[in-house]
Amino acid sequence: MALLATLLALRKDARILKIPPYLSAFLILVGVAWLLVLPLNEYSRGTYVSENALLPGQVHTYFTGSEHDVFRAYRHEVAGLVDLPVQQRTDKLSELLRASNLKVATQKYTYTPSGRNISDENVYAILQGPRADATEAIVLMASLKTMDGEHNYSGVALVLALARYFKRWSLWSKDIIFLLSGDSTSGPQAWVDAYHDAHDPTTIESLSIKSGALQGAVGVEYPAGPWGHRYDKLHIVYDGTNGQLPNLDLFNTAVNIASGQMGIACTLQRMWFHRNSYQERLQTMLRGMLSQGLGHATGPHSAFIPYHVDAITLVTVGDGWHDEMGLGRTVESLFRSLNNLLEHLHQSFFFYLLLEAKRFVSIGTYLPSAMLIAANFSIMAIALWVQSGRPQEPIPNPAATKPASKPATQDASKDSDNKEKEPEQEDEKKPLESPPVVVTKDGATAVIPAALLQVSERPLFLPAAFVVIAHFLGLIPLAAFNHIPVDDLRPAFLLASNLTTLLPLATAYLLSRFNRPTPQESTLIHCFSLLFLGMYLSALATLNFSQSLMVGLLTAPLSFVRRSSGVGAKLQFALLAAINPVMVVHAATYVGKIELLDVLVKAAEGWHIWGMWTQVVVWLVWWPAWFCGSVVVALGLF
Amino acid sequence: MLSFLSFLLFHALIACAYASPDYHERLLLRPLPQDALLASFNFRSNETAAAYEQQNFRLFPRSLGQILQHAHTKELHLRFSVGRWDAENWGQRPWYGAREGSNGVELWAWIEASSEDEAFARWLALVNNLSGLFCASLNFIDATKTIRPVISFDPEGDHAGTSNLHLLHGILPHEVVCTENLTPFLKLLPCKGKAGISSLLDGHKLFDAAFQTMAIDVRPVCETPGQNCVVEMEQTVDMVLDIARSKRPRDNPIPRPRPIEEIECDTSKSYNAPDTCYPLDKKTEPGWKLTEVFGKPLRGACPLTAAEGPESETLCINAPPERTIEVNTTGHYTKSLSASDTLRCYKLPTGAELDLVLPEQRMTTGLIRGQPHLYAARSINGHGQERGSVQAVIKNPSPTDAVEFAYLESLPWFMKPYLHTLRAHVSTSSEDPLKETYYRPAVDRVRGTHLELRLVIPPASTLILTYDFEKAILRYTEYPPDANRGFDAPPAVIRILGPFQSADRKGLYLRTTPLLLSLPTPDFSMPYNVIILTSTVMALGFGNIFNLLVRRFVGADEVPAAGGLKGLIQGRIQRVKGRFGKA
Amino acid sequence: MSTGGNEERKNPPPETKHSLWLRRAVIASFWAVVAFLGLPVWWKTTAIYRADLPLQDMTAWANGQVCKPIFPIHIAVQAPLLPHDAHHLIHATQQTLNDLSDFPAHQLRLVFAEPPQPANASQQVVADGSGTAELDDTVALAVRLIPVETGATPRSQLQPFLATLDIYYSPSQIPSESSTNSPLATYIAQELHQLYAQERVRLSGLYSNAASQSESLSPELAVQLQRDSARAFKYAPTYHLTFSLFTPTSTPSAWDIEAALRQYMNPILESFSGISNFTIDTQVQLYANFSPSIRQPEYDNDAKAWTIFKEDVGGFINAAEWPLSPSIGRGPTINFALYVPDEAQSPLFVQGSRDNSWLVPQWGGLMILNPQSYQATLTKEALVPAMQVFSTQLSSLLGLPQTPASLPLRISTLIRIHATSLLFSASSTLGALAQVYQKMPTIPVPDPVAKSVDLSLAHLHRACELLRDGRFQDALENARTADGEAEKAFFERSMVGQVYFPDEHKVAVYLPLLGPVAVPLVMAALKEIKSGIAAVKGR
Repeated sequence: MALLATLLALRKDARILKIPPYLSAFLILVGVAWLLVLPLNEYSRGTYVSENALLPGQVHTYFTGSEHDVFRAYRHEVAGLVDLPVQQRTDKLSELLRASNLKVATQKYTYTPSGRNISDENVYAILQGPRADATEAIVLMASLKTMDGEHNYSGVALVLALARYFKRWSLWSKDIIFLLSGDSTSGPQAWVDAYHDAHDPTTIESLSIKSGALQGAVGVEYPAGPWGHRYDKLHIVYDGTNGQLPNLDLFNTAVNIASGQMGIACTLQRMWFHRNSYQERLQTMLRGMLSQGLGHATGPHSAFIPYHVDAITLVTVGDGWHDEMGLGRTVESLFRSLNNLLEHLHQSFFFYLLLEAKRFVSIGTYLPSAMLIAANFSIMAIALWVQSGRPQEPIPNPAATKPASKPATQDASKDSDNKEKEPEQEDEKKPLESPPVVVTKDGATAVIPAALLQVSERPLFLPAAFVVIAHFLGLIPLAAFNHIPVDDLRPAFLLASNLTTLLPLATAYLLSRFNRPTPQESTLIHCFSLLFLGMYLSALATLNFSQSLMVGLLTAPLSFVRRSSGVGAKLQFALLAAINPVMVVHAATYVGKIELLDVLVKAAEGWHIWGMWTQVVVWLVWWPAWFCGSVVVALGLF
Repeated sequence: MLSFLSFLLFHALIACAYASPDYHERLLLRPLPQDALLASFNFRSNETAAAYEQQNFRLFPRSLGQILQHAHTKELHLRFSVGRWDAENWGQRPWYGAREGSNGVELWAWIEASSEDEAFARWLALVNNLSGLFCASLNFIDATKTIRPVISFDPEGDHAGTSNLHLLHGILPHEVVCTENLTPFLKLLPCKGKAGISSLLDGHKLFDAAFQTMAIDVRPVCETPGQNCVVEMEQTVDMVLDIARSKRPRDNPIPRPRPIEEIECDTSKSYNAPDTCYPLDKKTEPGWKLTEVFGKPLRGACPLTAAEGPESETLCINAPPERTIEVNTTGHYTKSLSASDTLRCYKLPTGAELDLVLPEQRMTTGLIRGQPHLYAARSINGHGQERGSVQAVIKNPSPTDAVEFAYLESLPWFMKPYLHTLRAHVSTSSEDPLKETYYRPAVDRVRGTHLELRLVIPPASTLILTYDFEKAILRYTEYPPDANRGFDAPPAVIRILGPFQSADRKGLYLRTTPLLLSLPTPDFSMPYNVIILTSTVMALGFGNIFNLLVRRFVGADEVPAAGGLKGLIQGRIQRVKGRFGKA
Repeated sequence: MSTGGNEERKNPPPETKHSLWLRRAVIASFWAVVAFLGLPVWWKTTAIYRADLPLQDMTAWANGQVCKPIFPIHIAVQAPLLPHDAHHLIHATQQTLNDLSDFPAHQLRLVFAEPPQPANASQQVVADGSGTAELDDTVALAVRLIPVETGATPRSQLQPFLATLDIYYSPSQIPSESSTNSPLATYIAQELHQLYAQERVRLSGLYSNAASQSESLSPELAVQLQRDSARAFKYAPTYHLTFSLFTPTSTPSAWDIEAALRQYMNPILESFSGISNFTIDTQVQLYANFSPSIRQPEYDNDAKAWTIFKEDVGGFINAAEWPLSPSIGRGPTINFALYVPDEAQSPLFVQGSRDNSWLVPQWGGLMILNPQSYQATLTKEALVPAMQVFSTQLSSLLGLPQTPASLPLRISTLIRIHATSLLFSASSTLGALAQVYQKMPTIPVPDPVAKSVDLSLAHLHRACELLRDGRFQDALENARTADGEAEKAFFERSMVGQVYFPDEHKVAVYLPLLGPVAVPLVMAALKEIKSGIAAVKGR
């Protein structure tokens, strides 16, 4: 009880307002530091397969011998048909699949993101497990073009050869679906949408034959020409759209089989050489977080994960001595393991950061860092709120341990039972310098410095309205960038970058012209925007940790800028201008040596096809926060 | 068309010769495309009604007879099935769906009882005893899985004498049918597995088949209503064997890649090389022998079957006349051709083994397989843990006549359909194909949903039937051990009412595959943690409120010196303040 | 630095009455909620319902203190004598009987019955059983004294299908007034004693098994009892008889069992109808060979027959393949299997004995039948030997004693034995139930249990009285219901369970709630009480 009293006492303490900046700075530092220690052995764990049914690598694989010759033949076939028009290609592929007694169907689809026309046709075949009852299925897929735009000759050929080979086994307890798509993202997306009947039938054809609930999906990318090419490592790609991840068991099984059974080294996040040192672990983790934070599709598997279908893609990299049969046997063994599954994958983690193929950090360990960073905004918001409710002139320190401070606790304890009404009744008769006044309540008498009881009204309308409007303002660029045709994208972007930089100044100027907002009001604007930001980010951290962390770090300065005047204001504004979301994107493209247009196009594509909501976060969370912050600063200039 | 005729004729043969108290059996073999072979066994054993009533069992198995009498069951139909009948490739079902089940176990029976409750009590007795007899978990068919269909089933037998029969029906979609179900099935046969065509039935081969179904049908049959009736038990086993797969020796069943020499390569390809081979699928019918395909020899005839006449020819094969078939046997057999030579039937030698040998052969003519009256597929749409929708696609291939059929759904109670979202849509015509609806809503944990529809499909068109449903949240204890696998919803039963009619009273049926329903599953380690956490929070709240109510507040210096909790806290406050003072 | 504050301490201003009472009211109300709402709810929700049972009676019955069954067997003596002599003779005989009796509970009581017809009736007149027409049903046996001149006297003859013992004597053997013991009386007494020897043994055996009795038995009696009880079925109101024909080939594939049963089985079943009901079902099983585990038969040239070895007989039944599942419904199933060997192996005999049938204790009987000719159908005639074997096997499986020769006597004996055994088993079941009730305080006991216990006790009493006045048939009926009810009570389904949730669990789970809630309540209460006392003291 007395504890409560003390807190209430502290509420009145002036110096308490000095703490939050340090506190939130501290939190940010801790958050970043936390991230840096994760790669250490003490904070990360070795991976393990926790679903007993999988039994990875326990079966002997037989995909060799004459199948190899057949595979070569298929590879030639595929090489022959990559340049054919879609229709002929489809027919040829269907014929190849039909030759091995499978049920074959095709699906046409058309997307038009930002004016471009993406239209292609999927070919898929269903191998009905002899003992299966069409309630469960697993998917093996390959697209004719890899993520990097190369021709996926051997990948497609491998799927064809495996389809022919799997057909002869009688042990399948689930149906197996072989999916051959035109490109590696929109094709599978269209297919899986249609499979769950979540598609738009006008542009995307419904599936004519279906099987049961999908239990897992594996993509194969093996861009080796008709004469083959021996590879060095398997690159396992696992991030899904919006940073969702497949069950860790699937990844472990793949690693386990490839490295343990087949002796093929596994790598991830494009870390071709990984000596498992601290730096490399950290680098792997950061790369993983980057791609998770961007939330884009990283392979044919990405489309499946939003439907709670665990999926990965195996990509061959480098020059080595492993041949296509090795990859084939890996897939065979992987499918035998998935075939063993009695339940949908659920044992292992869905939220994790991988440091290397056999080491990971689980959500319990890493989540705090993002939470801490999100928390700093909330703290600042509270601090600003308290501050805004404060008369400007400082009051004599009321809460020291000198006898002078006695009333504090007493008043506080009284506050606890009539906080609300007491101040009002005494406001009028308060002189400006604060002499002690005597308050009497049911027999108890107290002597209090008047200043303590003085409370300044908060004008809430303008700040609230402003912040809300600012957030809705974000809808304009969001809509714009998702619908502007390709050719106008770049100019639109440049325009946006200039506008967004100037907009705060303009707003601040107008505000100061018409109704000059008091410092209190600007503080409240700042407070509200930070409050929103804090809430958004902490919620986002549980969905897409990396994204929340990135935005959090990029917006961190907002919690330290203040409305000031003169040089300070100019400096602050310059700083903010630098971390303007649009600017940041621009800078990122320079650093990453990516074509800006591609980013924009992909973003639009992601919005329309993959159902990616990164830009929602950028335009409706990040940008408004930045806008409010910089307006507050800019107000200091006028 | 030839074979189709022969097919009907064959079934006419099966159907004839009622009501003589003896035993018939017949095996029909028919090669199917894609190197598949349909083997459909049929056994019928009759018992005079009088002997049956007095429990003098000769051909009718005592174990089953007693169960039926104990449960006052007048007519029984039981199905064990695994796999799917691939109608696109294999054509019409061998018994027009009358004897083929869908995945899992299906049971329906006409039970004599004075009231609904009595009927249900007897039904429970029936399923419990049957589960013991067939080593199947039929006893899981409880009230929640039992329905009383209205238009989907009619009795096959003559029930002139008996009144107030009750039809009850239950399905176990996820029952794994396996060898332990075959053994009791064989024991019910008079000749066991020892002689006759039943000597071919072997667990390994049967359950390696691409599709297999076992059926038991018991019904009273009377020559003239009410007199010299017999109780007929019909046992049926249909299996579609993958010839290549079942020819593998049992000791080495692994389908290793064939040596390259055995594969016929397409040498016309430009890239064709010693190490590159584009496989050609050979156009020949594969060669096979009975002993190879079934892994056992056929041990002559069962002496209980008729000595001569069509009934004595118990082994039939339905193949084009040009297909060469050699017979290996030491005993004496006879052969007869019918249905313009597409159906060859053999009278087996008694006591001597017989083997059919079909060499590999390049065929010029094939059989036309009867086309199914309807094609049906059913699937769950949508995703997520809260709701979904069921979509049934039913195709009518016939270009001329519209097909009328009954569609029966029996859904578990935790799958709650919204009837107002039920849509039956036909692409070709605008009129509503939905004629009648029987609906009995589910009651949580008491009974499941029973939905029965009468629909009509215009010729050469596709009917799409959809309805939305909501997934209930189960109680913690109601989840099975493999909760994350999902929950099976039984297959839908489709009965064709017209214009097609079956030769006998069996009816024309069609069954879809079952559905897998994923319900929200809790983390099963949670409940205790939750209880403890919540009660801690409650306790905390209680403590504070209680203290607020009963504590007395006094000045900081008025605390009695003898610390106590309050004094202690006061001390701490002082220290805190001191620290601020420095800061 | 907290000492800084400690220099000038003030006492807090005195509390106002109002706030004081307010606080007390608050605490009181909290306690009220706990006491009048919390505890009752807790009690109600965690209590287990246990109907109360008459434990004393039950244990008393189990210890046999309530009822010592006695068996008064009324024997009517018809003598062509003057009543005076007859009474004297009966008296003398009774005397001797009482002296002979080694088992007090079993009492033979002679009564005098008017001779139905003149004494000089010739033998064959008597032989037809018209004589015992008007004996009432409590009379178990009629003794007819028939004076004859010829032949050795006294001699006796027991009617095989009547409860009648004829004693032929020469008039000279009538005891005179003076002589205390006469040879005739002694003879009759011994005859009767002999007649009931077996029954006495069985009954005393039952006694000695029952907990209360501790009288020792002679070893050979014990052995015999062991054998009989081992092979006989436990008594049941209904028995299912299953007749199965097994043959390793396809012939014979049918048998004329219906007629055979009607002719040879029904009579004996009729006579048992007083004790139990029977249902009959039959089946034919082809291609059912005997179990492969035993040695194959060998051809023995001198006997011109195939033989299987005696020691293999035990494993003859092929449990895996022969469908001998027990029939559905209450009551045990008695199997009678007829095995017709393969024609190639016929005739087939059990080595050593020519007897081709044997009895499997508590399961049924088995016979190997070698038909003269192998037709598709076994005729009724061919089945005759089998039927005879089966009927004898049936009687011994039902525990029918071998002696005496008269069937009615043996059946009445059986009735008494069953009544007694049921009496004992019912009371022991009740005893066990009582023990369970006392040993396990956590199991719930629903009302039906109590109901059936009462019912069972009532019937036990009734049965005991009926035994006393020699109405054995009714006694059996009551004992049967008593036993049934006792079983029902003991195997009540809802009595298991509840044991798996010990209270420690609940406490462990709810301690985080109960602990922190309880502490402040108690503390506050104590504090208030203290201050209250102080205030009172101060005044």
